[in-house]
Amino acid sequence: MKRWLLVTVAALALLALARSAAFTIREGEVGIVTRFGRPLAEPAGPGLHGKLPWPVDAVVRLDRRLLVFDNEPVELLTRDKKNVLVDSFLCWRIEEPLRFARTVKTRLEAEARLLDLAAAELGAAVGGEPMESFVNPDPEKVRIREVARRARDEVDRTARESFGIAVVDLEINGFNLPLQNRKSVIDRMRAERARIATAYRSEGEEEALKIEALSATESEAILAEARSRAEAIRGAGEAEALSILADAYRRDPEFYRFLRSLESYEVILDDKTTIFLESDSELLEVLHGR
Amino acid sequence: LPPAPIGELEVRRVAYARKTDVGFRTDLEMLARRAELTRFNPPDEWHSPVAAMNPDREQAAYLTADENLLELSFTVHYALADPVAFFYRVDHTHDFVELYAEAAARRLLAGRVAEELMTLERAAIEDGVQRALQERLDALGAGIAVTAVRIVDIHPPGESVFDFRDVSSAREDRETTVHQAHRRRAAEVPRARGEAALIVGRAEAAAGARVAEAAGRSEGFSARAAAVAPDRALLEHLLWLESAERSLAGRDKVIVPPGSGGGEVSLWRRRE
Repeated sequence: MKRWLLVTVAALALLALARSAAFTIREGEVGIVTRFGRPLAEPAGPGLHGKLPWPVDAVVRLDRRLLVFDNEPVELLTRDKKNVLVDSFLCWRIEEPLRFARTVKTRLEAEARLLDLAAAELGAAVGGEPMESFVNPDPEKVRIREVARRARDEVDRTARESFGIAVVDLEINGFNLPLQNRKSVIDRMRAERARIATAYRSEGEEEALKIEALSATESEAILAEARSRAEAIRGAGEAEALSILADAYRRDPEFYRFLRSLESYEVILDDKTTIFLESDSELLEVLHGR
Repeated sequence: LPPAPIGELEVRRVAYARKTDVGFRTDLEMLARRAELTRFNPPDEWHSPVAAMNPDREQAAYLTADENLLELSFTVHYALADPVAFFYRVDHTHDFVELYAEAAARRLLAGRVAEELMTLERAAIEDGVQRALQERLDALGAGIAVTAVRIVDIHPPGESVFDFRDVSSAREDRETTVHQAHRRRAAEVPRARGEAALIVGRAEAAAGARVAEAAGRSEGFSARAAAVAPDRALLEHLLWLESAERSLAGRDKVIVPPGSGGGEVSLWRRRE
């Protein structure tokens, strides 16, 4: 009975030992065999592999896929001293698993190093360019990609040498003004809109005034023409009237003068006039009984 | 397939049309309420369900070539061109499609003017982002085929919406002012023509009246002259007396002795 138990335990231990002498590496991974903690030469690709059983050898699995590391926005200065908020991300890969395993070991550790590197290089790259390299009405002069590429090259060089990491991409996915500047930008935008709106309204007024001027010119011309015609008509009427009267008076000028004088006196002697009559005047002759 | 642990089957969704939102999030609960949300959009904010669903627009703010701000929300639609590459070559902890799409959009918007971006260049943004994104994803070997990039919403920042809308109002106001001026002109010119006709008419009437009056006077004079002719002295005296009556009746009169009437001054004397 005791012997049975011993055989079973020994068999199980042997099986466990055999199981720990083989390992599989999945697609997208790389395996590094460490002997008492020291990485051995060749990393193992996907498939079934053998090693010395535990506790001699151990397997460290590393992700060989492209890894994306999203940075948080950082405030940087452009060459012309403008504050900008730059958001970026890195796309990286473990290039030399052994170096990686020796230096940084884990993804978290690696990304902490990359963050430092990227921040420094991006700061330098952004600081080397004026604002107009980041926003420019001429799309050819927008150099965001070149700036990011320059930073990438630097990060990549260091990361390869130091950590066995290849930085495939460093991209700028955010380029904004700090929140504090946002208000002034918006105020400027609003002022610009207000200017455009005012221009439209003033154009309307200009156009309206021109139309009114045209209207006034037309109306005045019409009225002036009418007044001129009216004067001519009145003149002609007056002339005709005078000639009719002259025709009549010319026939008996003596009598005309007599009648016209009487009319004049009647007008001239109004009720404010006091008249001195000599008693022997012709008017009073009859009263005298002469 | 050999049994585990040698063979292993992984089932993944491949034909599924994938979509990534850039600059906004589709909140399904809010999406269901979008009609209500949009309806209660404050009047001075941009009217769109996306704006209503994403009150914090900082992440969607883009700096344009003329240093203006725009809020851009778009979606990237893609399919898996190479599932093995998609699942085993790239890590999906972060949505790298979103990150690359955002980077492409930044570069595009940084080279264009806000005004044009919002109107004429929407299609250009969509095409540009799609092309740049696809190029980058191919270089990475991500196994992704971008099928479409669609702008969901592009608009000026909330605080300036009023002023952007006011430009449209101003354009309308300009037309209104011009129309009103045309209307006044349409009223004024015919009125001037009418007034002109009146002025001419009045003058014609006055001239006519003057002529008629002259004709009447001339006729009256001729008649009187004819009537007086037979006994001129007598009738002229009569007329003189009648006139004297009319002139002197009711006036103050002072009758003075002969020769005291102011010397040489001779009043109301029958002419010699």
